[in-house]
Amino acid sequence: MKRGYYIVGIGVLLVALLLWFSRQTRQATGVSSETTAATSVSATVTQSPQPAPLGQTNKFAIPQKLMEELNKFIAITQPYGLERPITKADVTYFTNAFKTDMTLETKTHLVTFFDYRVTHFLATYDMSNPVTDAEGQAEARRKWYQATARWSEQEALAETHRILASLGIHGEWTNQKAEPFTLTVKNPQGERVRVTPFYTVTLESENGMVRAEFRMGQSGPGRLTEWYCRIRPSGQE
Amino acid sequence: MKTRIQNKILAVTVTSFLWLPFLSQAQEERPKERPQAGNYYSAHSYESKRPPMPPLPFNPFPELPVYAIGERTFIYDDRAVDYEALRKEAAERAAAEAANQPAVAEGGEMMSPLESGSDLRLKIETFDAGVKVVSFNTITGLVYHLQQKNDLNDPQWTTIRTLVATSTNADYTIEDGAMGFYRVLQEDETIQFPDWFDAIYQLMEFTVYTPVTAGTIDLELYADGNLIFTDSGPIPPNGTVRLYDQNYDPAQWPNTGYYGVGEWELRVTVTPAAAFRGAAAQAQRRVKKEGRQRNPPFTYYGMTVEQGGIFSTATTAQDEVDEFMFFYLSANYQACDIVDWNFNLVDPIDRSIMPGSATLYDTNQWAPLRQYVSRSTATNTLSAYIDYLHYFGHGSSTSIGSGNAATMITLSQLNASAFLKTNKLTYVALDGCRTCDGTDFINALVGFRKTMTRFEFVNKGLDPHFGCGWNKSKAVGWVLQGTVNDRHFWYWSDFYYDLTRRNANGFMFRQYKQAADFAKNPQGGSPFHNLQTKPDAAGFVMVGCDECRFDERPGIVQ
Repeated sequence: MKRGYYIVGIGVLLVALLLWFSRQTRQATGVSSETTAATSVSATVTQSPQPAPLGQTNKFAIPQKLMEELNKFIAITQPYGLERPITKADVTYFTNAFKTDMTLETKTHLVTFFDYRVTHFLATYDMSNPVTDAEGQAEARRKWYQATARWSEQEALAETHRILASLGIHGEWTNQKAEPFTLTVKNPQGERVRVTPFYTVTLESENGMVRAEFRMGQSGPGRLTEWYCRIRPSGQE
Repeated sequence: MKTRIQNKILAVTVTSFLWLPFLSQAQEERPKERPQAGNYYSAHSYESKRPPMPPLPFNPFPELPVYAIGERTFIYDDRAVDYEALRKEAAERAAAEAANQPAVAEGGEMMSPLESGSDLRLKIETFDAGVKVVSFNTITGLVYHLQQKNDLNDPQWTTIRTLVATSTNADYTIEDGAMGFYRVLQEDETIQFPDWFDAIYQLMEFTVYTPVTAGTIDLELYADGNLIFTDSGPIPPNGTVRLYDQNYDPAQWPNTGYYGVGEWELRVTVTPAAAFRGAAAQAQRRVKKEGRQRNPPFTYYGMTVEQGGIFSTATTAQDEVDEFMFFYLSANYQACDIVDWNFNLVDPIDRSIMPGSATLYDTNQWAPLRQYVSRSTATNTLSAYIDYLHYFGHGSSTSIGSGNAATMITLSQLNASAFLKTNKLTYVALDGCRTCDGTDFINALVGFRKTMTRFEFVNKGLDPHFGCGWNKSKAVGWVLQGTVNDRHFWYWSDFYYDLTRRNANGFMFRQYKQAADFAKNPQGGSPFHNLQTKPDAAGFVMVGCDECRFDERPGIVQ
């Protein structure tokens, strides 16, 4: 066990890049009061993929079964920004360092697997908390004003249950909630607009939790930007 | 401007005074007198072996025998009283009165438990020596005043806490160890504060709601006592007014910046156009929010420490626990720089630092740790403080450590720090018994009493903070019959293993709650063991932003 800890300890000792954010003191000069009301604006949703290092990826080591499971997941969930299956050529990083816990990354998505099941799926730059630095996060948020399509908590919850059923996952949920992320942002013209760029669904059971995040575009229903579920499908417990 | 604030006074007074011994002695005494003032206990309550009713400041049954059992302490013989019939009668009377006068707010007289038709209940639990937790049920958005006095005959009550309810329950920890009487006052519903958070970080924001359908609403905003904004106008159709800093840009969160204000106060006045539920007069509320985290550090520092001397030297338990703690320290190094007792950087690769730089033996280690955590100096200008803390050792709902105050960090020590009130720690894990049983201790460290979604943090401009520990349902048994309880320590190993996972570009991508989920249900996926589930996870409590990542905080790459 000690050897395992040592390996893990060293393995995870990556140097975090520290950026100093210049300390600033703001004055509450822009104070105003208003009644709560929602506003919206139309625009186009785009992605901002950033390259990941290719040198670490051994694409030949990626099990075919893993790719099949991933694309089966994509077909079921129809994630945001993914209009076609992922091929090995798309993979920029892959590791199976620990047991059957594998991680695969493309320019725009990050996926972890356990026993060839997708346990965590992230739209790297399109999710509400992009896996990038502070500048990349701010850049991603500047596009939130484009989320003009309408959806509802009920639809988000129903979509989550549809995905779960399609994946063969059933649970006795002790808690279920769907939440819209509604906020006021500025559009490129500097106008303040009220939008709901994301819906999140959280399900809890004794066997684990499910988290699904859906992103709103200019039209259509919410599309998946994050999926987290370690619960095994029925029959595989 | 004359302002009338209508209070709904809940007069359930409770004491932690143990009165049963007095009662048992008094049962044989003869009546002495008919006293006029003092504490009156029920004989019926004692005989029925139910939880004792609190004493009353008056005799509710002057016609019945009364016994003196001490200085201004009495017992009234109500054993023949039919309480069930009285309750029924009181309920019928209240219903009849309500039917005749539906819109009148309750008065301010003190009510006996018999007369109380309210759902508001105040409860006191004693935990450790001298520590009481006062809790009461609440209605979200309403204002409450918790009051105290030490002598029931004293006409003055002292408000010890004013709060806006954010859930259906509130609690408050009192460490004075003295006998006390408590009551809670609930303001009426004329002015409410939905979606409340009691501090302001990067966004000044107050939301006010009134059910009054016609009238005017006036707002006055004070920053450190200075009036900086006023506004008034008709009450909007939805009854909701939001006062906020329109310069706040959520796209920049959590790096939007701070105000440099220690205390914000909002004064709200609602003037109904006509009689509203029986009250035509104005209603006014004053609510305050603390300004927090005004000095984000350039570099985030942390410590991962264990309490020394709790294992027998005859066993290898200490070495094994050191091994676990070293892994936790390595994980914390992913998010911050690690320092020793002299606030010098330590090399996390150097395995000898456990126990040298991370084991708490005596005041030589506890004193600097307390200072780095509470940031308490005479001038509160200390620049050497930590933002990340993992602690393993003895704990309670109001402290970590054991022995005397010199070898502990107590709630009162934390509350005494002015700097800690505004600058909370980013991450605190308290691996000790009942460290999150009650919310005051963890709240003093990280500024949160419950979890909130990351979206709420963005929308409210709050700094990411996270705290965790154990409640009383968890027995933190780290040694079982001389052998280290690996399952307990594996919980933390799995938690940190998952929490510190990074993508190819070196960015963390797991949330705290996802790491906790993995630690609870690893399903054989842990690199340390083959367990499917861990019952040891029961009792794990999280507060703050459980959807945030380990290195997510102002001014830092995520």
